[in-house]
This record gives sequence, C-alpha cells and structure tokens, in this order.
Amino acid sequence: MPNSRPRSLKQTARKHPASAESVFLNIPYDSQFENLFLAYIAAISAFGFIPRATLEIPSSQMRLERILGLIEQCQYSVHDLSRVQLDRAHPRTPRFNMPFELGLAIGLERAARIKHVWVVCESEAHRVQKSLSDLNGTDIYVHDGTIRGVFREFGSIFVRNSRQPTVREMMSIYQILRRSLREVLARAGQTSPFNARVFRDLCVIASLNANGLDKPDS
Amino acid sequence: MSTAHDLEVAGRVSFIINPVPQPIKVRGRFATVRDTAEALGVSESRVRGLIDVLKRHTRDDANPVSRYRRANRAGIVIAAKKSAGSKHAEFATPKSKANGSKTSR
Repeated sequence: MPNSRPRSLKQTARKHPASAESVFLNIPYDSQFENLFLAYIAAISAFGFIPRATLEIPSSQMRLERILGLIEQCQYSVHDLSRVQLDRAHPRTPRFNMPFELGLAIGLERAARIKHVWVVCESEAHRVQKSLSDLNGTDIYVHDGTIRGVFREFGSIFVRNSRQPTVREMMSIYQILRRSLREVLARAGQTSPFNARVFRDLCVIASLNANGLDKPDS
Repeated sequence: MSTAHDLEVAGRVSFIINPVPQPIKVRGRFATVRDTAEALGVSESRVRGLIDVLKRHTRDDANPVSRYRRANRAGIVIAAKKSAGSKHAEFATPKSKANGSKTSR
C-alpha cells in the first residue's frame, strides 16, 4: 500500500523553500580563491538568492546523484572556470570538477527536466575559447580575478525590478563576511572556509546583512 | 546567450558584432534569513548565534543603515536638526536628548 500520509508544510518548505530562488555556486575550493568565494556569497545574497554549493554534500558514493539533485533545486547556476592551471599536489592535474558540473547543469537544462539558467565566469578574457571551445558563442563574464570584478559582473548578469543592489552594498556585505570569517572558523573548529558548516554560516550572515540593507525598518 | 556574428555583406565586407549580453530578469522574491537557514539546514539557535557574531563585527561607520536603525530604535534621531547645506536629519547623542532638545515624533 502506498504511503498516503500527507507531507507536512515544514517538509515541503524544506524541499522547495517558498519562492525564494537559489543559485548553485560552482567554484574552485582552494585557498587562493578565498576572497572570491566570499565575494560570490556576498553578491548572491545581495541579490536575494540563496547560495548553494557542493560543499554541502558529504563525500560518499551517492555524491553525483546528490550534486544533480542540488542543481535541480536551483533556478540559476554560476560556474567559475578561472582555475585551469595544474594544482601543486602530486600528481599535478587540472581541476575537472567545475567544467564537469557546468556540463551537468547544461545537460539538465537541455533535457528540459528543469527550468535552469546557467552563466559562466572567468578571470581572463578569451581564455575559455581555448580551454573550453565548446562554449564559443556563449557570454562569458570576466571578473579579472577581483572582488570588485565579481560584483560588477553580477550587476550585469542579474537585474531585479524591485531593488538592484549596488557594488557598494555588495562590498559592505563582503567586508562583514571577511571580518566575521575568523570567528566563524573558530566556532566550527576549522582552518579553511571550504567546508559545509562554515559555508552555511557565512551564507546566513550574508543573508542577515542583505536583508538589513533591503528592509531598513525590519 | 548571444553570439559574436561574422557577417558578410555583398560577399566583400565582413565585420563582427558583439551584442551586449542581456541580463537575467529576476522575478522571485528576495530570500529572507529564514529561507536561507531552512534551505541550508541551519537551526534557529545557530542563526541566533550568528546574529551575535554579525553584531560583533558590524561597525556603525561601515554600515550607515544599521547605524540609522539602531539610532531610530533608541529614539535619538532628530528630524528637525540640520546642519548648513545638509538635507538629512542628524544623529543626536542621548545627552542632547536628555537636555530637552527637539526630537522626532
């Protein structure tokens, strides 16, 4: 007999968080990218989105399925293809996770399984034409590897009718994230921001700040 | 997604047009802190702890909005007090309020 028990409102809300939209963030997880990691969280939150990333998913055999599920939950995805160099650890390899997850997002969108919009960011202009020539003819948003560049490009990628955040507002959220990072890391007993708990805490702090900017009287 | 087009006119002239990328119009509502916490599985008690972290690291001078909100909550914004050339109300200290200066209602 099928389970006909109605799903509670809380359970439904957890699976589909109202009509607030999420952005799947596909970036390299390395210490050199820390500033831009915070910048992306600040920008996504400033636009009123919920940042999501594979950092939330623990390493397991079901990881690929869960990554697909996470992309499906998100209305948008931002893929940063800046890290194309070989890493330092032996054996030296390039990082394939970012282009792979971009391929997953495009595949899901093209298969019409979900309504999903994906965008690609890079730190150098025209490099994607060499590193991933299949994307020729696609708009690439070049942030020059700078925090301000990420904010500038987000202003080009997304437009909100009600309230368009300025670069200054995004920078103010970034600065608060930067100042809070040490305490957030200490609370989690971590040294790197690239783990699930720190990511979630930073997203909540960014959201608290973004909502303060959105509704001064709330 | 837009494309850089190679166009040929009358078989001789070719040039490239780079159209301006069209931004994505966002129609969904602004995510609240509750939305973010629920989606990421952050408990209410942890959110409260993070609010404390945020308060500790929010400087008044860096965030004029929070500065205004805090002052407004304390009832120390003087709407009528203006300096020369300023169109905005200024912040008053609690001391000046205690001395019976004009306050907003």
